[in-house]
Amino acid sequence: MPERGRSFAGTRRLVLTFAPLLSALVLELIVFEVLGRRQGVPGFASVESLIAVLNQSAVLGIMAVGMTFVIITGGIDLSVGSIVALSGVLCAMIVQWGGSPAWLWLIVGMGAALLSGAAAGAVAGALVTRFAIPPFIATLALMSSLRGLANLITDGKPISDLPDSYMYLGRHHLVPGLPLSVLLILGIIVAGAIALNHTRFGRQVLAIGGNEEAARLSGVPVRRVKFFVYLICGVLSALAGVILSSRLGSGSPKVGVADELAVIAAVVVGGTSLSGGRGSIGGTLVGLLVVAVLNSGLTWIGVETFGQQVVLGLVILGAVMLDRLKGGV
Amino acid sequence: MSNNYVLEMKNVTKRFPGVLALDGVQLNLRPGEVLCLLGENGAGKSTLMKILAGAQPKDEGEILLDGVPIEIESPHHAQELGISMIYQEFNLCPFLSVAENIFLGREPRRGRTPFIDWRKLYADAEAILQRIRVDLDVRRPVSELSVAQQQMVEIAKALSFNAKIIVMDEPSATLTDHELKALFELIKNLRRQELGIIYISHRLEEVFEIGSRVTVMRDGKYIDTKDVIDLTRESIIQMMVGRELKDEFPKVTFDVGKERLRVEGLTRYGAFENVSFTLNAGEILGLTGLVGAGRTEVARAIFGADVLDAGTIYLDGAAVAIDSPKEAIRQGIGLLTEDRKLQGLVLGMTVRENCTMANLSAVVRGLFIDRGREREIASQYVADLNIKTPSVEQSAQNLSGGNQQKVVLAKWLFTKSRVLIFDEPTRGIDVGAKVEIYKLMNELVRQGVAILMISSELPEILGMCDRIMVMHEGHITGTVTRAAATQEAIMHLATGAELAHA
Repeated sequence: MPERGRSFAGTRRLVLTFAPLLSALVLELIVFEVLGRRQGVPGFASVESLIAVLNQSAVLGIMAVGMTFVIITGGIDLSVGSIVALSGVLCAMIVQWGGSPAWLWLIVGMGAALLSGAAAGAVAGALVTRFAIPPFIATLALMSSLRGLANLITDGKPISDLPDSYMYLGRHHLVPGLPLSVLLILGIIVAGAIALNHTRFGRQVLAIGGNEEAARLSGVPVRRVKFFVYLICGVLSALAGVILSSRLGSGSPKVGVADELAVIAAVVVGGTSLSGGRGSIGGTLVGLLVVAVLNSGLTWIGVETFGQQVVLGLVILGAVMLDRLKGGV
Repeated sequence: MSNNYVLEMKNVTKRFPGVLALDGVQLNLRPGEVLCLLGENGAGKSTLMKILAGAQPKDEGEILLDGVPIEIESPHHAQELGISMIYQEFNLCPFLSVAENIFLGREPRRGRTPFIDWRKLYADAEAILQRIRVDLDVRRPVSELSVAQQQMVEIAKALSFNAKIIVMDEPSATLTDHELKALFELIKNLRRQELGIIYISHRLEEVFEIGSRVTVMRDGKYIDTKDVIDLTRESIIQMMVGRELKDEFPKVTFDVGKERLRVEGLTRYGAFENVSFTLNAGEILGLTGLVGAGRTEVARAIFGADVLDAGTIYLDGAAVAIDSPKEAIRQGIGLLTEDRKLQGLVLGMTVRENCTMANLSAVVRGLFIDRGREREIASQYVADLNIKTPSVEQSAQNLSGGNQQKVVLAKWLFTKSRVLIFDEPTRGIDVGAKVEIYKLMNELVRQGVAILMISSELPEILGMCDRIMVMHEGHITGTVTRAAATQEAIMHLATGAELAHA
């Protein structure tokens, strides 16, 4: 484990690297607080509302951790939104089919859901590493097929009528005000950051993205590492799907549409380079928060979805242009 | 002998930062002749031709076309003036037809409409191909043609500009014997049409077959121009090499130990065939030859980076199966690649991260990388190899070429390899850093490491190697000992002559 002194230095470096993003985040909080007060709705910049934002973005956040690894290797995974739908549907179907005891079938359902994510990730990884299909194409195909699969097995209808315990993962609060899913996303972010920065696997991921040929000629097992990166991304997306399904209390084949774009947006806003080799989980977290706070802030002051989409597009552009100015790509 | 030159280049000088690439070079070309431009790698041939093609401006000197002084402003301008280049890499669009490629950007149109007059396009293309007596369907896409046929299309394209001068850079490098004959026929045809041809090749036998005169360059300087009739193979090599070895090679000889690496019958079709040699502890074995002879390919195959079609690799006497660089490193083989930026370093990573890249397991404790240990190791190499960097946390891209190369060296030293393959270890590095790298090689050899050094620079090969292996077109043409080696002998082997007494 990294020593304590190091992690302080790490925090400082993180703050310095993400100073522009963090100030954007603070600016957002101030702006929405001020605008909210004018409309008679104070309290946007509060711990409670931040936890609420984090809670809402937990699903995207878990996917974003996996996506960060994929993008750092120079790849992309467009299938994450479809995996969310498929895994949620699988979990709900198994719980409904099994009946009682509900806790047992919940575990079976979740296990099957995570396995389906692993399988989808493994297929993507194999297509990219063994058949040399560009990640964009391979995962685009998977995105379509997996979405279709989720619709096929449910006949396009959501699976509801689930036991109350089904909602535990998504809605339970460990202590009042602290949802279980927020703890889970924080745990995954910390684990992801340590894996990327302090393990051999993370170093190899960064090396492959930085210069794949040099990495291979330095003995990095490029194929294996890339395969695992897609596998991890698939499993995390399935976990996100299970949490979302639990929160909704149903398994719907229609959820997660365009999630891949929201996730890629968060990763890119967080400073990870789409050409690979450069990026961090911390950045992804901040990027995610910038986007999520923006969305909920706009809702707070009464701007509707269409307006939010326009603003989000501008923010993504702004973040990437800022990144270019800093000299990275 | 007539003196009506189609092209005269006088006193051409070109400076790059820190280098005098061309130093008052001259070149004259008559219509209807083939002038062979010869010189070692780095002699300045390419720079001179780039100036002629308008790809680079000259600093000083004069260029006369048909006796008239001209300034060549751009590649496009050069084409308009009637100067065409046939590079090794063709500039063709693979999915367009032969005719479309010949007239790319100059397609005939129907009157003043924007529509292409296809009939005229095909007729014009056929007329040009007939002029050089090449039989090709002008409607076929270029991607369906052989390399030789694509070359014909390039030449046809040059003629469509009404070229007076055609420069061919290594046109024979990728051709079969049969195709080469066809090319020579075509060149003779062009000569009859009074075109001037500048022909660059490393194969001396071709000079005697189609050359009229020879111009030799060395180290950016003009050496001499002579009629081919007055020359022998030996006299050309003498002119090309002609330099004395200075004392810039601190070679130390050690007792040769036991066999470290032996390869038998290594073959990778299309790259090299039946390559066998032995490399012993305590020696530096040189591997040289012209660019494209297959040297790098042999190194990559031994290292597991490319697949072998046949052959066996023995390490310390035992046959080993190496199917990946990872396995090669595990077996104790290291490869310093030819191109440090593309293959040696992850430029965006720090000196520290690059140093430990090939041996990460040595700095991993439990699940995690021990960065403190990494820093110590990198700092040690920075001190030992005299790497000039503000800190080990500096990004590798901010280092100079010589210091980058030392970081790559550090990476391989840290793997504690017993066999190290150095592919062009001193390319693009200044003399001071070169000597440091040579001294490091001495130290490695003293410790019992066996080194295979690939280099195109003959002085370096002669100065540092105990034995020298020469390759020509995928085959080893001979091995000479340090005592018996001369530049002339190596050039003979490198240009394809067999050694009478090995």
